[in-house]
Amino acid sequence: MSRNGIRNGDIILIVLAVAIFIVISLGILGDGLHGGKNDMVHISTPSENLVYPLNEDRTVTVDGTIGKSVLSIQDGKIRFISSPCNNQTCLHGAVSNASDFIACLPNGVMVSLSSSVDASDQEVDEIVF
Amino acid sequence: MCSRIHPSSSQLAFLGAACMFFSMVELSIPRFVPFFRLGLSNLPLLVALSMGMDFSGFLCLLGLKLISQAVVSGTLFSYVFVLSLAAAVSSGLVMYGLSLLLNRKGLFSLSLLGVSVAGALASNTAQCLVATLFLGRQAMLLFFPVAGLGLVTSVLLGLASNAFVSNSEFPSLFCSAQPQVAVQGSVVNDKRRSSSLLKKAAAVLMGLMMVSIFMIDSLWYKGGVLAFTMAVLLAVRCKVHPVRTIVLIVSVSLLSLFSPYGRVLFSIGQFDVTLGALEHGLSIGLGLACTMGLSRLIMLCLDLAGKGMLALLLVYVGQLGEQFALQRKIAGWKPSSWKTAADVAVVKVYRGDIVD
Repeated sequence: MSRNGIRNGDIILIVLAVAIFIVISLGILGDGLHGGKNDMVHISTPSENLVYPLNEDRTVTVDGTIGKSVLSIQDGKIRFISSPCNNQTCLHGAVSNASDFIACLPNGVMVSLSSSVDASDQEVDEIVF
Repeated sequence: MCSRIHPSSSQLAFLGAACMFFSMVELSIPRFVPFFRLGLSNLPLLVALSMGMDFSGFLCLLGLKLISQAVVSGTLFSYVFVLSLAAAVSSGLVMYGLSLLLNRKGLFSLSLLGVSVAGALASNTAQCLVATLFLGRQAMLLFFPVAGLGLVTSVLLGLASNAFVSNSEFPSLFCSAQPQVAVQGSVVNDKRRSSSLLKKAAAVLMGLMMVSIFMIDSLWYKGGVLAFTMAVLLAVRCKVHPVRTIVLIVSVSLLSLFSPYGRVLFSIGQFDVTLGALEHGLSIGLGLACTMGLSRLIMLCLDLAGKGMLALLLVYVGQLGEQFALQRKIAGWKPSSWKTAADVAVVKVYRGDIVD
C-alpha cells in the first residue's frame, strides 16, 4: 500500500480503462470516416444542391429547368423514375458506385455519388500510361 | 471495516440522502458537455462498498440514488431517466464485482480508485449506447468527450473516497451504530399536501403532451409545447434553465449535422450543412427539452417530493445540507476545508448530534 492508498490493481484497472477508452474511441472515429456505408448521393439542380445517404431508401422530387424530376434511392442504388424531358434517356440505368454519374441534361439535374472509401479502392474504367 | 453487512432501512435512507445531497451539489455546478456528469453522487456508493455492504443492500442504495437523482434534477419522467438507469445498472454491477477485490493482498488488490474508474467507464459506455436510441448513431461521437472527462473525474473521485474512508470515523460509526433522527421540525413534516383532483388531471394532460411530442413531428408544435412548458414553470415559480436548454438543443442539432441529408445550405470545406439534418436535429433537441420540462411539471403535479419512503431520506438531506454549510463556515473557506466539513457533517447527522 503506497501513498493515498493506491494499490497495484488500481494502476492495472486505470491502464485497462484508458486502453478500452482509446480502442472504442478509435473504433467510433474509424467507423465515422471509413464506414463504407457512408456513401452519399449528391444531386445538383439549377437552383439547389441536395445530399442524401445512399443507404436510406427514399424518393426525391427536384425542380429542374423544364419541370420536376423524380429520383428514387433504393437498395443502395439511385435512379430517375420520372422526368419531364423528351428523350427519357435518364430513366435507363441505376448507379451505385462512387465513380458513377447519371444526369438528365435537358432538365439540368445531375447526380453523382461520393464515397468515404479511399479513391484507390474504387473501380476504375481504364488506366492509360 | 466490518464484514459483509446488510444495512437497515434507516442506514439505507442515510446513504441515499448522501447521494441526493451530492446530486444537488453537482447540479449547482455548471456543465459544459451535455450528458456529462461529475458523478459526485457515486461517492456514497463507493464508501458503502468499502464498508462491505452486501449485494441486496447495494442494489437498494443504487435504486435510491437513481430515483433521488432523478427527483432532484426533475428528470424522473423524461428520457434522461433511461440514460441514468442504464448507467446505474452497468456501473453498479461493475463496481460491486470489483469491490470484492477491495483490500485484498497481492497483484489484484484494489482501492476505491480502481472501482471508481471502472465504474465510470462502464457507466459512460452504457449511457452513450442508450443515447444512440434517442439521437441516432452519431450519438457515439459523444463517447470521446464524455468518457474521456469521465476517466479524469473518476480518478479524482476515487482518490477523494480513498481519503474519506481512511481519515473519517464514519465507516466505523456506520458499522457499529444505527443513524439517529434529530427532529428539527423544519424540514419535511407539514409540507405534504395531497394531490387534488385538478392536479392529477393536469398531470395526465402533461403526460399526454409528452406522448404527443413523439407522435407529432412538427417543429412549430414542439417549439410551442416547449414555450408552454417554460411559461407554466415560470408561472409556478420554478427555475427554468434557459442556457442549459439552449445548449442541449444546439448540441443535439450540431450532432445531427454529421449525417447530412436534404438541401445543402452551405459547405465548410468538405462538410455539407444540410437543411434536412438541421431540422431533424432541432426536432430531436426540442423534443428532449420538452420531455424534461414536462417531466418536472408532472412531478410537481403529483407532489412527488415528500412522499412515503423518501420522507426519512429527505430529512437527512436537509440536515446534511445545513450541517455542511455550517461546518464550512466553522472550518473556514480554505481549499482543504470542504473535506473536513463533509466529514464532520456526515458524522454529526448520523449521530443525530446536531442541536447547536
